[in-house]
Amino acid sequence: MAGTTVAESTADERRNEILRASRRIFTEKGYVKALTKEIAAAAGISESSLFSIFGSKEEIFVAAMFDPLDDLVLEMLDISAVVPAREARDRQRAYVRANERMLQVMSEVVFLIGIAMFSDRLLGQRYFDERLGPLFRRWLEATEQTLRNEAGVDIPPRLLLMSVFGSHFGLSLDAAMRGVEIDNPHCARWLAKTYWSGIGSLAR
Amino acid sequence: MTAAPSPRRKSARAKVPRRRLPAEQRKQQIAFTAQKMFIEAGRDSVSMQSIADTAGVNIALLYRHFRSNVELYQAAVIEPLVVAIQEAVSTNRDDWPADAESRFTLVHQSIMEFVRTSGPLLRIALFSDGTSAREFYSEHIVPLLKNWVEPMLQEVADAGNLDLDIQATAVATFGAHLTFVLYPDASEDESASADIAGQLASLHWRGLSSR
Repeated sequence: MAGTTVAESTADERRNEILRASRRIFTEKGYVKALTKEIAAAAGISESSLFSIFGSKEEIFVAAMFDPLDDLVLEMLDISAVVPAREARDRQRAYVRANERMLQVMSEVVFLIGIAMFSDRLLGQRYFDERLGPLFRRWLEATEQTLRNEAGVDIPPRLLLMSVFGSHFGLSLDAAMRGVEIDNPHCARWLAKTYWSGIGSLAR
Repeated sequence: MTAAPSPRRKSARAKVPRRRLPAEQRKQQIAFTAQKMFIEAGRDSVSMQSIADTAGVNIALLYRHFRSNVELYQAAVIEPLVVAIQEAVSTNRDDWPADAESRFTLVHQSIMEFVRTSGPLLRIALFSDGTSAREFYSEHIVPLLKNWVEPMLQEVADAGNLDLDIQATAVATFGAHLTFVLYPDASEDESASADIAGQLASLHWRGLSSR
């Protein structure tokens, strides 16, 4: 991305602006009732310029949900790859930072995940097969690596991933539903205690 | 958007011979039909007309029982959930095991059982659209956590003399169970869910009981 021109960065910004606006609209209206016209209006552009960037409502929805999640999983893979060389205390710090990052992303997309995974079985199954399943498999690699970093821990990786994901989901959902900002440091501490201390107490 | 057969095939369903039912029974039958269709296809993909067709009544009769789709949604989805939530909240355990970890496992099993049995309706109530979901969450899920899950966790904290962040534990535990139950490839089997509840309890216990 180092060589982006002004025009490209403006296009990126506009794309991101649309995605931010779409998250608000999808969250308010749900998937079926959200209109591209409203998303365009919320982003401050015309519907035709919206369609010059995205082909359909579904394309917007997929990008609004998976852009941040794909980035997040890449970060998690990076973290799990550099962590093993470090001391226990530094590893713990890295996990706390990872939790904070996850909460941040989850707060953005929590309702979209709810719609995509949970609101409609057939829709959920398709997103799962095409996007979420592969995403979770990569995420599982990061979790497996994390567990390998902690010698002697025998937690099934999938259980850990689903539980960590679900806890983040629950904490973000609660804040979103009550219409408040998530108390990120507080929640990250809870997550660190529950998962890191639990794993740490078994390690070595 | 989906290729699977939708429940809107009028011709096949409209031929169902219509029997006269007492009004209250008819109302229940319509609500039950709507519930099944919401679970199958999602709230927004089901029209009043398709519900009438599937229930084998004409649309005017449907509107006599339910003045709007909101009213039907209330009867088909929200009311049964409210009953399940009230049942959960009113169960007062007086058979708590003495040790904290067994209590904690029991809490996980109770939450899992609630989420498993109410999952199909929770899915609709929480994720159809944000506005009515928020209303449902603050009116019913917040009290469920506060009056049911949190007191159970307090029993755990008391038995183990633990400094437990009860509110965060309640919310995160509920989210974790919801994820396991609603995850697209999840098993709906009761014993599989009980297994997961036990595994989650022991995973969380390791961390939460550490000092």
